Amino acid sequence: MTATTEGACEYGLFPIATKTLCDGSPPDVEIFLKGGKGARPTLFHKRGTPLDQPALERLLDNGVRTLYVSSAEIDQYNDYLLAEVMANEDRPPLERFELLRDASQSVVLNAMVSGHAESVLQVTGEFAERLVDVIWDRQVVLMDLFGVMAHDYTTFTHASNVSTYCLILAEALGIRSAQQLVSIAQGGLLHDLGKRHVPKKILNKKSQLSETEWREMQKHPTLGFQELCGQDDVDLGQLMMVYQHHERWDGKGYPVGIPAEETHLWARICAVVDAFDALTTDRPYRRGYVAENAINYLDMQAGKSFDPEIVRCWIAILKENS
Amino acid sequence: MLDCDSQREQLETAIRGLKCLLSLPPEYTGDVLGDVQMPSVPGCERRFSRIYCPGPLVPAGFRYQPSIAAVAREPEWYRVYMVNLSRGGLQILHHEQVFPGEHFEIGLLDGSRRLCRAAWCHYLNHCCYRVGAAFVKESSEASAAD
Ligand SMILES: [Fe+2]
Ligand SMILES: [Fe+2]
Repeated sequence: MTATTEGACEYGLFPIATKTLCDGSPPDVEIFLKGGKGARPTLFHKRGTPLDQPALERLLDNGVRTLYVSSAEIDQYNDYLLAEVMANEDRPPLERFELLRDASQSVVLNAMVSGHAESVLQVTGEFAERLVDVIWDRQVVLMDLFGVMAHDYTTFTHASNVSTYCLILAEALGIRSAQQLVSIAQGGLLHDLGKRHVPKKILNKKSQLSETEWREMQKHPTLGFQELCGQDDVDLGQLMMVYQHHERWDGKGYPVGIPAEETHLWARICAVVDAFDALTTDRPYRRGYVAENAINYLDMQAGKSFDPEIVRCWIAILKENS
Repeated sequence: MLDCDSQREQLETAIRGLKCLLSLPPEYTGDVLGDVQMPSVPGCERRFSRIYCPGPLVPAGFRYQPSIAAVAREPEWYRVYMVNLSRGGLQILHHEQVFPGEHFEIGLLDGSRRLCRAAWCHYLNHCCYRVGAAFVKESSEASAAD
């Protein structure tokens, strides 16, 4: 959980992306601004009054990316987001992709960190539908899209990057059904859900994990699977993305050690882009690889860790759009 | 005693007659199960120490119980082999992957049937998986790890 989210929860406030308030009529909610650490929130926008756009611009210029609404009014804000922001055909798809990502960050992150399985599924399902809508239906130019992918590693950016990449790769591999693409995008968001049951000190450890810690970490696919398998609206492919994304082509992965041909296609897709995102994003202890080095790594691991055909396809996409 | 033996024989014959798609890896074939040393199973943390007694693999009946909506299973009886048995659960060899949390019924040679919940599964070959499961009690569940 991010510091801003933790701080907001204290006052029953929910973080929202400042950018989603630019243009258009404001949502019918009170909007709060929070100063430094420990500061009390102050009212920034009173319900029913015009939104002070110059003040909003100043906040953005000063790097204030998060404002807050009361948890009781989050539904009104989400309605506004759907009607005014995401459904606005005048916005270019790429801008809507960025907005979707920024706007969903706190909602998805909150659900993924502490929500019940049902709320996680609802929130990630909505995100996946909008993602497919923005990326697939409206054909964002991939070259532009790769340019705006997040490179700072957080639970949300990793999940959202993997989800976006899974969608692009699945489509390139010939999956055309919109329903399946939504499922895959949602599976990508959910793939590491089990990590919320892994102690934070293990997840955030900067040095090498001990054998015991590594065993704990390796439980996350099973933990995620167990959490989701009781839900009626999860399909087999999504469950396999969660359960099998650390299986390897040569059968040396975990949790089952199952080889390539027995692993679900969606899980093999997820495995490739999961590794790609893990390599290319910055971590507190190392800079992310440049795409070329990540490509070399994937190429080297094709037929060992990863399905070689899927790697070939992903590399072709990356090269075409670099 | 004789009755008991013949009943057991009948059950064993019935279980041996069940459909079995297993292909046992070499270390599990033959009369005895290797030496006292068992293949180690990562992630299996037992509460009670276990004494391994080498012996033949024991056949058992296996039938899935509907438990995970997304995973379709035929309610058919299969023959599986029991690798070990404890007060809280058992390990079996089955021809396909069983997912954590899946329920199945196991029919033992003494005529008893137990409901089990899979805890983990490891690949041995494309027709053989080793599965650890806990017996499901009516109100609470024992751990497969004991
Ligand atoms: Fe993972
Ligand atoms: Fe991941």
